[in-house]
Amino acid sequence: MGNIRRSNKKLVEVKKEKPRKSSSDSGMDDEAIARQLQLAEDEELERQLHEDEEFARTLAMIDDMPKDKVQKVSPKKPSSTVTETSPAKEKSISSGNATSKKTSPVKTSSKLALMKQKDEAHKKEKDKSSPVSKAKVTTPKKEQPNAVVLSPKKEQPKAAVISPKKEFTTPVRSSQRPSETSPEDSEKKRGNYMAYRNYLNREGPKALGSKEIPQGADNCMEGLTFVITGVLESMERDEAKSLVERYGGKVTGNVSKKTNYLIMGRDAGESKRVKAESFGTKIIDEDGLIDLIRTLPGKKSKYVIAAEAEGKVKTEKTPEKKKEPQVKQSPAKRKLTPQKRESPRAKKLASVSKLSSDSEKTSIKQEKPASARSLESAGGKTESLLWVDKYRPTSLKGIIGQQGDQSCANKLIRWLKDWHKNHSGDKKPVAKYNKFGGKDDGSSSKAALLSGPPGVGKTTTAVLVCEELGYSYVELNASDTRSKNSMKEVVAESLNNTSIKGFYSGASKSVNNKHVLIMDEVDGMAGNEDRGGVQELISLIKQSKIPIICMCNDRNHPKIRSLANYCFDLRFQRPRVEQIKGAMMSVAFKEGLKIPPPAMNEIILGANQDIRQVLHNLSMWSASNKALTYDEAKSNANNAKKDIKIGPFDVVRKVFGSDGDNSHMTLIDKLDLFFHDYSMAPLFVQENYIHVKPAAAGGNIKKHLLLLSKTADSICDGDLVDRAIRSKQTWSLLPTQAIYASVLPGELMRGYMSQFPNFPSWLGKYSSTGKYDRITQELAMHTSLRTRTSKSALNLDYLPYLRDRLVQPLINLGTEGVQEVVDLMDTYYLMKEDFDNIMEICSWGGKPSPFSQVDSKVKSSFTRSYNKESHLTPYSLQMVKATKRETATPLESEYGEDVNPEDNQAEENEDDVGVDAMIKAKKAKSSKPSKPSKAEKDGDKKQAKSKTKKK
Amino acid sequence: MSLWVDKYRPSALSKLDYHKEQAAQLKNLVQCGDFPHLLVFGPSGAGKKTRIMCLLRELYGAGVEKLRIEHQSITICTVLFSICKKEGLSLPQELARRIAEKSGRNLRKALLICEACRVQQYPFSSDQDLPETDWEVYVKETANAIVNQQTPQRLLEVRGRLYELLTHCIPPEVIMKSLLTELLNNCDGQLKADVAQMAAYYEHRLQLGSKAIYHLEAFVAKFMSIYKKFMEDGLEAMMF
Repeated sequence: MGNIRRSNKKLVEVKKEKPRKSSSDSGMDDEAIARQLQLAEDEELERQLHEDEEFARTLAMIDDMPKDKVQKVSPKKPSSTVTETSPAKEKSISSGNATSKKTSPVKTSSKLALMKQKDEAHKKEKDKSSPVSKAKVTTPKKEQPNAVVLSPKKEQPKAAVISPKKEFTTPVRSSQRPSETSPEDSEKKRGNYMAYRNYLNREGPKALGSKEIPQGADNCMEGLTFVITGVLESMERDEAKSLVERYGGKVTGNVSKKTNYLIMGRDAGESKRVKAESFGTKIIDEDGLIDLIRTLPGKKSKYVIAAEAEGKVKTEKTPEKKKEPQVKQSPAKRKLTPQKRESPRAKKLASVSKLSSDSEKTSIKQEKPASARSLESAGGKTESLLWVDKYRPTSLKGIIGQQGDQSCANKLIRWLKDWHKNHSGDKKPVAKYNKFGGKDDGSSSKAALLSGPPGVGKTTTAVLVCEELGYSYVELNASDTRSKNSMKEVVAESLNNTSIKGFYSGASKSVNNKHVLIMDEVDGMAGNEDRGGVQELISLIKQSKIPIICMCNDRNHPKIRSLANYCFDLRFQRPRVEQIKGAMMSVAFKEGLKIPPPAMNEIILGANQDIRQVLHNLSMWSASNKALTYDEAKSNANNAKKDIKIGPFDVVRKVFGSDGDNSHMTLIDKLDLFFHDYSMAPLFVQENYIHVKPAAAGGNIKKHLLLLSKTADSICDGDLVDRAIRSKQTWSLLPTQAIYASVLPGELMRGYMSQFPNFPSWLGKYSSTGKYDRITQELAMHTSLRTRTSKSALNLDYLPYLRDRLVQPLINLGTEGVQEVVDLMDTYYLMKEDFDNIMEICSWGGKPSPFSQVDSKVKSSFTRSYNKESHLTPYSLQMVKATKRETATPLESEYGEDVNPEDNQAEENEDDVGVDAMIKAKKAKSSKPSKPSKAEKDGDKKQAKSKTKKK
Repeated sequence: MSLWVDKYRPSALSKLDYHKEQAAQLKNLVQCGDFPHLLVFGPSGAGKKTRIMCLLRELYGAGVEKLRIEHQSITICTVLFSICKKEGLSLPQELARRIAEKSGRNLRKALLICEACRVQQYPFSSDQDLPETDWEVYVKETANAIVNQQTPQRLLEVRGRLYELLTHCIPPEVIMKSLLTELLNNCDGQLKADVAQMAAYYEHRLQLGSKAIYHLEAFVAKFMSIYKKFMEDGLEAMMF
């Protein structure tokens, strides 16, 4: 019991009084910064989405739109609001009208100007519309009005202007699209195909490394967006990309309005050039890029600026012992906004902050002393903590990527809130929602299952949700024994417990029954230690009187699948890089770590968007060096990448190099791919090599076939090595196998894989081979007195003809033939099961067996007349039932030519073995098809297989 | 009237035309009663088989000639005849021979085929179809698929068929052998020897390895590659 953790949360009442307390400690200011950075990013993204031709066009159209239409299309607004705000809008629209019409396609700056104008127009109306628009501002936002932290600011209800515009864009766009593209479709297609063929055959760079790349100023490309097309002669595309990113620029895949430069190389894509020209994007070649690096002046990153601003505040405030986090925030805020005048989002945020701070002013004031205290105490402890724990979110709002209304965290809150309502009393829970209709809010489930990759905050979310709602919790994770028995003892008891903690500490007048069981890492419930744990957990869920939250990584694991049926399914996705980046930058700044933002991108990608991993990596790399350059960060991130476990599907993709980054892989890297899972990798390679279109063949079918053949040979070599390894336990040969089974096939077939890798069919085929093998073995045994032949001879020679003899009479003669068939079966001592087995084993290539052509009336008459008679068999039916191994061998030798149902095992009813007993025994047999003697034989094979499966 | 080459073939050691000393030695060997194993080698047409037949005649007398027809077929045929007689059927000579050949000197199989023939059609005709087992048909179809097209997609299909055969517990050696037999029907000249050698190579490795499908597939891939090349080269040669 020592390892069960209990939350330190106190009482519900206390918490309800100061729900903000937990959120207003040290985590608060980072939150704010993080959110702000994130917002800026989001905003950028959004702008990119809308910043294209259509958007510009729609913008113009909106401006022309009559007023009444405007009202109709924006249904969100309550009518009172519309009347109140419409003058403002009208004004803003008309003012914008002039500008946008003139400059369509509008340039970014002009549109910004337009927005600004509107903004100002709006401001004038502020007094009139403010109460309503405030409410309006919050609704279209994705972010929550968390901004208690943020200082009161001048109000700029920008969002009200922007949001309706976005609503308009969608319908207009969708109506315009199809009419534009359809006519020249077919011709375009052919052209595209040719272009694609050319693309596949295109040569690589000719003069790699021939040009010297100058050292540019820091961040000189920040804010610039590049698109690379064609083959650059002196550098690989990846190099060019990382070059741009190093200096703070961004490389995107497609030309849009936002693109500043198009870097053209040899054999460049025609469509990109045309697009770039139409947008007026500057087109440069690689020399141009180098010149840019040489000439552009350095800039300060916006992250640095933001962080510095915050730093200034800190230094100011430190003498005052960081008393008021929300005030402390304000100068930074002010400082930030002017620099980001192009981001209306920031302003929106500010307005939100005003709103929430208005409404909660009183509560904040109360909190102040408490939060100050908690800050101090936190400050004392932090030194010894890992960063992961130090910066663990302390409120739900701090969890990265869980802010949306439909985010897992919010769903979980709603589920937990309603839990007692849904499951109170003995009322039967509502039938589970059907899977296709409507959204499942989990009200029918008594447990929730959070699944997702590691390091995205599943446990944190669960714990914080519990705390937020005032639940106390018991957490069991992989370090606890969770077998069937121990679960019964420990967990089952506590499920019915009521906590008296609150009662004793005097704060609560009644006993608190709000607690939760958190089962962390339920997919780790495996092995001897936790035997039967999942089944027990399921039965616990069925009876539980408290909510249970389960967590796992792989939701599709067979073990979890059964559990998932009883749970409210919540899947956590990896947060986007932008979401993580802001928070990480603020952490880095607080730790005095200097990392350029593009480097942070690399680090986050390197850790595969695993927030925990990012923090660990940062803390590790910064131990020696407080300033990381882009290159260092990138190489570190690449090193970290190797530590990420990738699944066999990704392994096989990498082996055949369909994602293009293998050119930099060393032999060791390729070997490592194999070792991600050395028992599955060869199977995956073998399954999928045929699907690869090797680049080396260049479309020549003869070459392609030759490569296939060579690959197959290499895979065979791998198999020989595999046999040597497994039979003689010479595990030192594994690298040899890796070369043959993975590296060589990868080298030979390197190219383009046209589909998602298949799961190896070998495993399934192997087990069905085993099944058929068992069946033939059984048949051979049953018929051995007549056929006197081996298993394989029976299978190869006898069965096809025997099958025909068994079916033909039924087909030709119908019910007349039934007796003939039954007699034949008796002659060969076949049982009904054997008959069915023969039919099964003799069907080929998915074709139905001839027996299925037999009339169903004849079939049933056949079954009836077979069951009517008693059938004496020379083999003991009991034998199969007995699972002990010893029974199999001695009995076999005792068969006589005569029917001899004597059975050593079943002495008690030996004399009574009559018709009924035999038939009953048969039924028992069908349920247990496996045979002990066989199991022995296959023992070693199965062991090998189970090994494979485990891995 | 036979061809001269057969008409004037010597039938006794004493009648041989050349290597007379060797013929005399052989005669002595036969007479001394302790006959050793012999390895006879030489270019074709040198008279190896003729000499051996003479030797056998010397050993066993004139009866040797009667055994010229394949030993096993004869036996199987006799068994088939005797059984059909007991069953009251009349079995044409030609059909019996075909069944015996088809059975691959497997008497059990011969009898099964014979019975299946009876079910299929009676009275027998000497050119009636011999019913084949499902797996034999399946292997045949597979071989045809390989010969008809040599592409990666076809290789995939063949893989599926090979898996089907394997899951039905057809031993991989048997698959390899019957596949080879079918494929050889479509090859000629040098290619025949190459393919046969390939098959032996892969079959050997199949025994050493643990996953039969790999080796069968490798064999098919190799065959496809070689066959494609052979056909295209042949086509080019014809055109120029």
